[in-house]
Amino acid sequence: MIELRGIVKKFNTGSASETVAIDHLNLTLQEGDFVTVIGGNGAGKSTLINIITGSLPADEGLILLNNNDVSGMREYTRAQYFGHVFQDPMVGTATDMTVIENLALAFGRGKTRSLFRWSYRKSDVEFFIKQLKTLGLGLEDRLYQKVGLLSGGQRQALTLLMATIRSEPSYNKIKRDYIRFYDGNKKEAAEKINAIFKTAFDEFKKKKAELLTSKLDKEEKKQKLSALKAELDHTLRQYDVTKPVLLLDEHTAALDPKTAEKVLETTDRIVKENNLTTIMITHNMKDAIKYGNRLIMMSKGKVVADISGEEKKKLTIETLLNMFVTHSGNDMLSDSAILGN
Amino acid sequence: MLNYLASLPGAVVLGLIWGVMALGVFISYKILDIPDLTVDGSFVTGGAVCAVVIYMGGSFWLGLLLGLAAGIVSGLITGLLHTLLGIPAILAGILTQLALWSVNLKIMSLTDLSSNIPIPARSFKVIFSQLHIYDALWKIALIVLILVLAFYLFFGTQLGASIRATGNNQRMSRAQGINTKFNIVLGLMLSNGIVAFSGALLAMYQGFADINMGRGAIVIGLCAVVIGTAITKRISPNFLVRMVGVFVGAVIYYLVYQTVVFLGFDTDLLKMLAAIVVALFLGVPYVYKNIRAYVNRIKQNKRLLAAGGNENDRA
Repeated sequence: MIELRGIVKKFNTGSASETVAIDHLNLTLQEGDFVTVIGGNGAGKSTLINIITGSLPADEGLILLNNNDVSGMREYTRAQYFGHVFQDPMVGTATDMTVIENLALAFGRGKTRSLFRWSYRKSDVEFFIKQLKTLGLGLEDRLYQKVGLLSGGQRQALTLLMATIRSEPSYNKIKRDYIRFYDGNKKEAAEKINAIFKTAFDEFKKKKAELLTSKLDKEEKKQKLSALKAELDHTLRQYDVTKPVLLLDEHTAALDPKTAEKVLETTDRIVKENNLTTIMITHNMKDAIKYGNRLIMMSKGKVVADISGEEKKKLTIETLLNMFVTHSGNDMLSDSAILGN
Repeated sequence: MLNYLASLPGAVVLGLIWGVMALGVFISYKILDIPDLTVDGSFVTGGAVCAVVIYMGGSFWLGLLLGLAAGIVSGLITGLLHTLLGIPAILAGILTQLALWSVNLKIMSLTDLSSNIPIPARSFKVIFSQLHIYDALWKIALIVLILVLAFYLFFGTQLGASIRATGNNQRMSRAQGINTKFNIVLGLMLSNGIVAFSGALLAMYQGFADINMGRGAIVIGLCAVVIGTAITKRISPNFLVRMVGVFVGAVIYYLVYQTVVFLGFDTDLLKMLAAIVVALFLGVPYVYKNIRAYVNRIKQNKRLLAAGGNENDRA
């Protein structure tokens, strides 16, 4: 769950050209919410995302992840809890590095960049190929090509993948995050999670000992042992509280309509498969209606409309347009927003 | 002519020693995308520290090690000026370079001499010297080999890859959880470390360290890097090839240098020559690209105008 409380962001503070980009904004997203955000130019949509990721510091307000404030956390530390896809396809990837190196960089998010590990290992390569195949762009055959040689659409798809893949967190990280994002006393959280882990490990050891003394043959023992390990792993991973929140900042705006649609479909599939909490900014009303379970309209740094559930399903471009005019005036409208490209 | 041919192995050794320095420039300029001017100072610092240690009776191993360490500290200072205080990278480098001038003089005054410390191979034990050129040649070749392999492996690790990403795209790097400031500082430390190491090697090879030995070092380093890039660009984008290219560039620079000296070129003008080479290598591709785009546009416009005329005729 992510909650924004009383966010204020001003630009050129104290000068004659002072502008309020975000004006005491409040917003709460439940786990698995897929929110589309629309609004005119200067409504503060991109600023909002940049504040959540930490690229821009907010002047006031809290950013709560599972009720714990992360607004003081640095951008690169916060990055382990967010996946960010930018409007400009050039920004999301390292152009002089290969496709696989880029994926490896994303895969290491939230982990120490070690001097004693290769940037990717053989076992990772198979995983990356599998992931790239789901994009259906043939990128799996271009693993060792520099990203600079890819088209804008391919790059955005790659960035999307980079924003959503992550390596399985270590048990220590699961514990750490559990404590960090525990709603309440931290000491209590530490005791609780340590006890849970200890019980699980004790259980595992007991079963393992039983298994080793039993009269099964070697092959069967091996099989049962790996099943036990998987069970332990599954039990412990239930306490992993942090799934990346996906932040999409008009990520299809620079693409041609056909590619944009493909990238959007991929986005929708990845979000649904992983049940990711997502914020997607778009200037295209059709897409804003088509995707997600909730729609937010922003104007002058505030949320002016918030539509979800059945109401969202019944939305038409016309009703949305009327709302747009009431809230922000005609001058905010652009042709592309009305026509949907 | 025989004199000229006899001077070529020496030119190769000098090229390889300066190639080590150029590898440092390659790391800051090409990988971190920061033109770091600290190197003019840290190169001398490495030479000065090493010469002082040897002059005062220490072993050359200790001299090399302390020279390297001094370079790493210089890089750290530039890095902190840039990342902690927000001073633009070029200016941060200039500031450190200026400060190092005084520091270098003070280091040299630790002996009973100042601004020039002689450590001739006849009286001191050094790793190699120009008195035994072929001995120096295989030793420096070995050092280069080790350095290239070490850096190749380093930039293949998670940490090394994250440094390359930082130089390539800072916004993306931060979004992928990379501490870009730390990486910039680390990269500058590495870069200045081996630049100082190269200064220490040169001091031993030529038999003295001098306060002026680093003047224009950055330009020589850039010369090697741009010549190397121009050569390897067409061969392979492979990282190993690019690093080897830097050394090839440095050796070519010194062979050309030796040749123009042999041809009786005024040695006062050599620094200007180096500056012109860098300006040409950096500037010509840019101008060429612009001219080509301009010519293409004119051609295309002509074609479009012609086509437009035809359509009007039909109407």
